[in-house]
Amino acid sequence: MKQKKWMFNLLAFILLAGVVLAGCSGEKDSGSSSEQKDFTIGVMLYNYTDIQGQQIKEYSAYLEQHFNVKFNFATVGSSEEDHISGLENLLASGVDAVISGYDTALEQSVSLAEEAGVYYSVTLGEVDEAITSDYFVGGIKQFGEDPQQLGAKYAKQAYAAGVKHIGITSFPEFAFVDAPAIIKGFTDEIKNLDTAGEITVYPTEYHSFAPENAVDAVTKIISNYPEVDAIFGLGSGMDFVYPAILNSTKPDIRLLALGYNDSVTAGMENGSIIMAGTNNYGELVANSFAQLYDRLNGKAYSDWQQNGYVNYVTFTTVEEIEDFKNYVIPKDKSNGAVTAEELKQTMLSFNDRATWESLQKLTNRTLAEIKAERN
Amino acid sequence: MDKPVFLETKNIIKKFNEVTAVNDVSINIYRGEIRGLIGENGSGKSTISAIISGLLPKTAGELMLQGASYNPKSPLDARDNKISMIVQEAGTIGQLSIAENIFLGDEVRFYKNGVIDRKRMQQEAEKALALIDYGDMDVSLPVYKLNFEQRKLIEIARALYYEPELFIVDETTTALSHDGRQLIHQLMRKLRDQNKAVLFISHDLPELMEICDALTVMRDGNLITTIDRAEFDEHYIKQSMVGRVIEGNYYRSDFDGSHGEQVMMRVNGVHTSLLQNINLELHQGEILGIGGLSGSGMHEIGKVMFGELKPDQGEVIVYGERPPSRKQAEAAKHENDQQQLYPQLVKNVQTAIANQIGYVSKNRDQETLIMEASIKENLVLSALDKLAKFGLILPAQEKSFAAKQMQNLNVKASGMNQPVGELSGGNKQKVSFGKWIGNNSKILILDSPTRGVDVGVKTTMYQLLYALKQQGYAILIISEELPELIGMSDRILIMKDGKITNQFIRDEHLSESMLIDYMI
Amino acid sequence: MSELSIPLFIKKNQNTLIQYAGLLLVLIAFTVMTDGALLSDFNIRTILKQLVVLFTISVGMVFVFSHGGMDISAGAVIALSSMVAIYTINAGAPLAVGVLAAIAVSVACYMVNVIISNLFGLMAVISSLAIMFVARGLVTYQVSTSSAKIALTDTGVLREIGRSMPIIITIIVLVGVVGYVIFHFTKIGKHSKAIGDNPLAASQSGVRVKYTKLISYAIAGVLVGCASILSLSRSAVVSENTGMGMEMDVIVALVLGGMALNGGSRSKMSSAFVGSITYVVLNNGLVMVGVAPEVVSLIRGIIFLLVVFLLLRRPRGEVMPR
Repeated sequence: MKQKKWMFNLLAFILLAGVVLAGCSGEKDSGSSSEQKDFTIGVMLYNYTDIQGQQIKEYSAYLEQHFNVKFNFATVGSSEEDHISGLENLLASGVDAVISGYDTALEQSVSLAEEAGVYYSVTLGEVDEAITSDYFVGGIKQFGEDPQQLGAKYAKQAYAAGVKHIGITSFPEFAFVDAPAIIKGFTDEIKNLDTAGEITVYPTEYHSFAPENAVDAVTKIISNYPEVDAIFGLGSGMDFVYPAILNSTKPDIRLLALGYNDSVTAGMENGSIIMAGTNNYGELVANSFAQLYDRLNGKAYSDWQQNGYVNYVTFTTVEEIEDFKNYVIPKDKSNGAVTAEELKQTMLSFNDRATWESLQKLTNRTLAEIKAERN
Repeated sequence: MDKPVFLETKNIIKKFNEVTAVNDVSINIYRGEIRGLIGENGSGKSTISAIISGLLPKTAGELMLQGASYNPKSPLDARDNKISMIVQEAGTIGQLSIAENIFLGDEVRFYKNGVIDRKRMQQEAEKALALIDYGDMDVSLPVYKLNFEQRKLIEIARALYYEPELFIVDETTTALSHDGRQLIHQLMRKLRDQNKAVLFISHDLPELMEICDALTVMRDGNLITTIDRAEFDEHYIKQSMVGRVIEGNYYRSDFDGSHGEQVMMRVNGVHTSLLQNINLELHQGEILGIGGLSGSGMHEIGKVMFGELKPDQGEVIVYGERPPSRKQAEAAKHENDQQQLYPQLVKNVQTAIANQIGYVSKNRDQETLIMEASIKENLVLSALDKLAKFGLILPAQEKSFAAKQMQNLNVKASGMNQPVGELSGGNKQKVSFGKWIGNNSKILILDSPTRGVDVGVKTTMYQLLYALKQQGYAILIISEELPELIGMSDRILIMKDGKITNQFIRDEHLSESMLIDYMI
Repeated sequence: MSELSIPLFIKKNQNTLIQYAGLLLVLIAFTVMTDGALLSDFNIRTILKQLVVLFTISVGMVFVFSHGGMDISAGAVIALSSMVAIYTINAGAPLAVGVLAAIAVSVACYMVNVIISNLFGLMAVISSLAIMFVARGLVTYQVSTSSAKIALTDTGVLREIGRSMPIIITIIVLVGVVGYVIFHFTKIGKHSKAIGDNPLAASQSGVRVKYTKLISYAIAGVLVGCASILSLSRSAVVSENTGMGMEMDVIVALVLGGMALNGGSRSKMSSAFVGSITYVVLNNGLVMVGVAPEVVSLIRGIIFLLVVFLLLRRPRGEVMPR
């Protein structure tokens, strides 16, 4: 009998705690919405815990302070079913526009948004030009206007570092659409620079989405080409390929990485990393947001195109990493990649002469350009 | 009485939720005495022994051990107080060796520099086994290599090793062979002669009457009476147990061994790894008994006849109502026989059931009944084909079917939705009978049908079996209890080492000793 | 009802009540927190659209779980079936043929699954793991080697199925009723439950254990095949991620609905109904309320724990000796 009572109390407590917790978080949000914002924008990402998710959330919070807008974040799974359900739930919650991270089930997603009269944008990638709708503001090329140029940029740095035998690893093409262009830009530029014919670039080793797959790819390169002295890692270069190299039989292989994490600084200091890079999260969100906000206010660029572009941040020195921290992802976003004032200049809602082109220009600034603007 | 009191229970009460299992029971247990405790299932006899041995906490009352208050928290605690119990269920762990099992939970005594001194442990284990004259056994053998009886003996050795002042035996003997029983009886007497106390719980009345110096009868949680050996009277004790007058003999009273002419089942030259050239016939309206020791292969015969065990050689034929082919069905129409039976091979359980064979396993709780499922679900499971209309089994059909069976067999339960696992042994057995009788089975293969069932229920079971015989059922009883076979069967087959050694026809003068000669 | 009989009623129907407690909790909490928006016309439609897929699979899985099986291949099988359906329909076959193709693929997967586990006495979850790898592998291979997206060229009728309320409601009711009848009123369901509790006793009662498992898996296969078409009607494309995580969603849904995952006589078809609705409403409600993503998992965890705790609690601590 005693035990039963105890159980009951515990249950009641858990129930209460659950309701209160749920209630609290609910109130927290309704608290901010009590300011009566005009628009709500839903955001759909796999998570808000990695650096990309965190930065997108922080930048959105910054936008909330400077625009008449509120963000509603939804965590979605990677499957089509999860994506569509997530979108439907956001639509049901009454959002006015949606920033989706991905082009999952794009056609159906756009048509759902259209039916609900909600604007839709894809922020982490280019979209299929064939899918059009009055409510679809398009996607964004993450690697700048021309991914080949990004490849060339890496090639220049590799040439300057003096490496001679370069292996390449990447996620497969179906999952990483820009990879072939970047690789092509890289190899073409190496050929261009290497007039003496001293440098060899080996065929690309594709791997899947787990760290051990990258390990396999690196091991294969080393066993096929024992003389390899550098690897251009396109598939999570820092998170997957860098540890794979360090744990391989040739830990002195130098890395050119598409990717960024906390070990970049140390890697550059000891010379094992030649170059690294990352998405410019602020520029990505700014680009999507500016277009959605204008559309919500009934304005559209006359020179609009389906796919915008933002600069891909790259670093070759420790100083540049510091600059990245200070000018792209600072705590105070008014010192960040794109400030609210700058953004308003490129938005029709605030500037009648703003153009789509001017928005792309703003969000395609390199690290050096942003730094120059701030000083 | 000048014997000293060893343990005293004072007004013990034990409740399970709202159910009172033991109600205000006060017993004195004396040194130098074998005290029997008898009662039907649910009478509280096992509960009170569980409280004394620390398996269950009491709800109210007091226990006094040699005049001092005694509150065992666990069986180990009880053991430290020189009280040891062996229970009916398996109390050993198969993967561990004999020695490890004997000292399970007490390995500490062999610690030497932080590790167990195995050699000393094995020596001590051999000493323990010597107490039951098993000193030559290899104590490093894992227990799963032993048979059930040997495992029980290990448990007994374990209990004795700790030199108990009170030795409790809970229904252990029902599962043992004649030799095993004799051994336990000897041990109990020896302990008594050493001025120790013995508490012997059973519902085998003749055994208790043979062994005990005094008998305490319990019924419905209450202590009914305690009788000294001098005043033992079987009839009176039974009445106290059941609380009503019982007919002098609970077996059938006739000695007419006749049965129907029609052969219902025929076993032809069956060989398995345990059986050698088994031939038998089971007739309509016949109760055929098969007796033997537990390793004689008699349990396997039941499984072979039910199609559960495939014979390596030979065949099992059943004479069923269902014609195996359409041609024969056509032919049957033209004949004017009331009921034509067709021989069919028992290939598997399905053909057995389709030809109206029912089987109750020796391990009823593990193999025949589903403990978690309700009475209704258990009863209908084998009869679903009969209940189905256009493939659908409607709840109303199930309910009326289950209600009918429960009523016919007088199953005592809170309702047909009560899980079978909550029922008493006797009621469980009724459900397993009902399962097949309801299914229109005309042939019943019953392995140890009254195992773990108390007197009251036994009586009804025997009456039921006799009634079924008279209705023309063919019944095969496989049992280790010879009085039961003698009391109920029209014909008895005795088995030894996988072979049928003799056949006895029902006779007034048939006795256990006549049968035993062919078993051992 | 007299005063005394109310607690008695609660006690008698304790398990049934607990089964619905989770659903009731999310319904009430989210309705209050969204000021009733949870039950708005638009959102009810949203919930039904999302429900139909999970619901259909859950009904199928009850047949698998009730006999003690465990399946984690549902998501991958959905992907494979959807892909085959796309190829079939794109090749010009009528929709019905596409549906049959998807069902055939799914049933084949489940048949292989159960045959492997029957033949080799393998744990069902292990053979389903193998099926998951193979099915997911085939889809990933096909996706990674094809130049274009694997999508329906003409979404046509299929698209309507995913959006038309009358059709969706009809499917839910149909699947629910048929599933309920087969599980509770036919031999298959009753035999499955018996096997889940005690395969030995079931077989001694004339239950053909392997055959019953086979049929149960076939039923699950048919329903998963149907679900793949319903899923396809919503997305119209297949990728390497299609159906990813669906197998776990189903398990969570069944647990929320009070299903005993080791099967047996306590298995109920209503677990699939209640559980899938609870799961969909929970996910929908969390977004509707706009709960911060940091605490979403926590709240989900608390609700899950609560329901599991309520369901797994055994009222009796001691067992009476015989």
